[in-house]
Amino acid sequence: MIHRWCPPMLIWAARDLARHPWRHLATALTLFALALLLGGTQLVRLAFVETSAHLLAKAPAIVIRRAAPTGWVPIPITAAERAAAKVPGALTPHPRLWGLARIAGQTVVVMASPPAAEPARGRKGPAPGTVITGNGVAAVKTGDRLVFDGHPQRSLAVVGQLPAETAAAAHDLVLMHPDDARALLDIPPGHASDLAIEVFHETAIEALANDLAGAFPWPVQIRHRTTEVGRTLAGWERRATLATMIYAPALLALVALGLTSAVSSERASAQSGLLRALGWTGRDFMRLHLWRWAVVCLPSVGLGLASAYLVAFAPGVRWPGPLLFGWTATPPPFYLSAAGSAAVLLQAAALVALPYLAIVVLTGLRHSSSDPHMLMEEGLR
Amino acid sequence: MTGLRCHQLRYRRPDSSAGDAADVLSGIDARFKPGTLSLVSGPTGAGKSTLLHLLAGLLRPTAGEVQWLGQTVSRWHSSHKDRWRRQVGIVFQHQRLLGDLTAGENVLLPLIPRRMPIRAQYTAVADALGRVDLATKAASPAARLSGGERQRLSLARAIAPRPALLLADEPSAFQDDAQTAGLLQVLMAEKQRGAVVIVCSHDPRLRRADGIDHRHRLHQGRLVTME
Repeated sequence: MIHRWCPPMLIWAARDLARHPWRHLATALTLFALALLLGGTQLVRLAFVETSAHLLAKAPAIVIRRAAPTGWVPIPITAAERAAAKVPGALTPHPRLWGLARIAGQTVVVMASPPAAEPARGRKGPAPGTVITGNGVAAVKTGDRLVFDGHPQRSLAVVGQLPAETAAAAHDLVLMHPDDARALLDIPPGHASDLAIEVFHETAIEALANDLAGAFPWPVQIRHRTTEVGRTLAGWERRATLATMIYAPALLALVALGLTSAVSSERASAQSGLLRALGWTGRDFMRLHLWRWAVVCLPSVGLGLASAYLVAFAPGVRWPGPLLFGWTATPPPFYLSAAGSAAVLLQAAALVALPYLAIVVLTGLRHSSSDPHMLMEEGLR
Repeated sequence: MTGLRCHQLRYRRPDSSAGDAADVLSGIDARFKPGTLSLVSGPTGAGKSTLLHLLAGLLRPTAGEVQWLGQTVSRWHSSHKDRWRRQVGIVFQHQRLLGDLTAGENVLLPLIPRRMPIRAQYTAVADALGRVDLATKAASPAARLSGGERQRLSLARAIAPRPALLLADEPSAFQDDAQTAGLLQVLMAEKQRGAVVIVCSHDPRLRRADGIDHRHRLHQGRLVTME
């Protein structure tokens, strides 16, 4: 029944491949591995770049900290807001209360919610004495009490957990009332960890950052969104380049292997000579070799890229935590953005399939352009 | 102008040295009409296989030309010759079968690139195998067939596409008398269908056979027409 719908040349191509099953299975596995490696590398890079860019787009345009010889010290809220207000274009300065704390040997990020220290400006957050935690915080669940290391120890009730989809940004985050955060982080009243500032237009960030640096009566560290985005991109590009360096030699090896077998196979030459004596034309050979390419390459590369897609974008993947970030304890589940993945998949498919196609076309050309009598004689030698 | 004609055909092996004066074939003039069976005989090494390869367009003549229906095939570009060769069925002296394929698959080989429905291809294969008494061996690997069966399989492969020109090199090799008679019947049927049939053989059973229209002998590189 299947024969009715298949071109005879496709059936012959499949039969011809089945004559040397292990050789072609090895080729298919190599193509699968190459597609998985290259597609996976590029898709993971894209996923983290897109997701990071998405998260950074929600971050403040400029963040100002008060610098000190020991690193940083709390920033006086009123004086900081006044200084920022002097710089035209610096919009909605808002102080933030956050810092690092330890729970049972695990370092977590503590953040006041709502973020403004005082007053709360109408936003609701956890009540005093309670916290909302990210999914990776010390394996606690709602109803437990979270005990922070330090003197004295502080114990806060867990009243909720952040959704798993936020894990990329909030896995180790503990949200609490500003009063609790201030007490835990030892930040005096009227002070904040840093001051976040928005800008009217993205292009103004760098210029404003320079103006802001001179507007404060104390030394400041300024971080802004554009440099963070650039740093993130550069980091992922570096990782992707390193991974691609593994792919390049593998692809070269495949091309070399294919060319060697294409050029040196006397048995294949004899068969081609015979087929030409039986009335096969150059076009028939090209059709045969293209079908062979389609049968071996398309499923392998398709499966490889599908696997790569699942590796990168399966909901809640946890492998990037330990493998890419070194987070061995309770790695977060990632829900990464697949925007732009179609172009990457096409590019990876082309990079793997086209060199193999070139080998196939060269082989087809050689067999269709040589003298059939000579090809048959080659096979007899 | 119908049929096959060769005019002042000469062939010297490309690897012959300049001082090697002996041409394998020289001054071959012959005409083979459709619906005729011609026998070319001669001792081993006389150039019978070379002549068939020249007629099939597998070798390029050193001089002279091969014409098919008035067209000088021997001067054609390789790709045109490939296409023309679809009208040619050839039985090689050494069979040149693909041993790991079944008998049926070997017969199918020349049919695969043709614009024929698959069912018609399979029918043609079964018909050709039946005509050479190999219907029961269709699924056997060619390598496991006997020498005689392999030679008949080679004939089946040549006749399956119903060629306009059938060239057979020692088709009766390894055949007993009964099989040789059956083989002659196949060649006669091809002739009656209208094909140009040229057989090269030094088998005396074929030389004595009835129904052969023209008998030639290759002697010292020249073709001598006997009758």
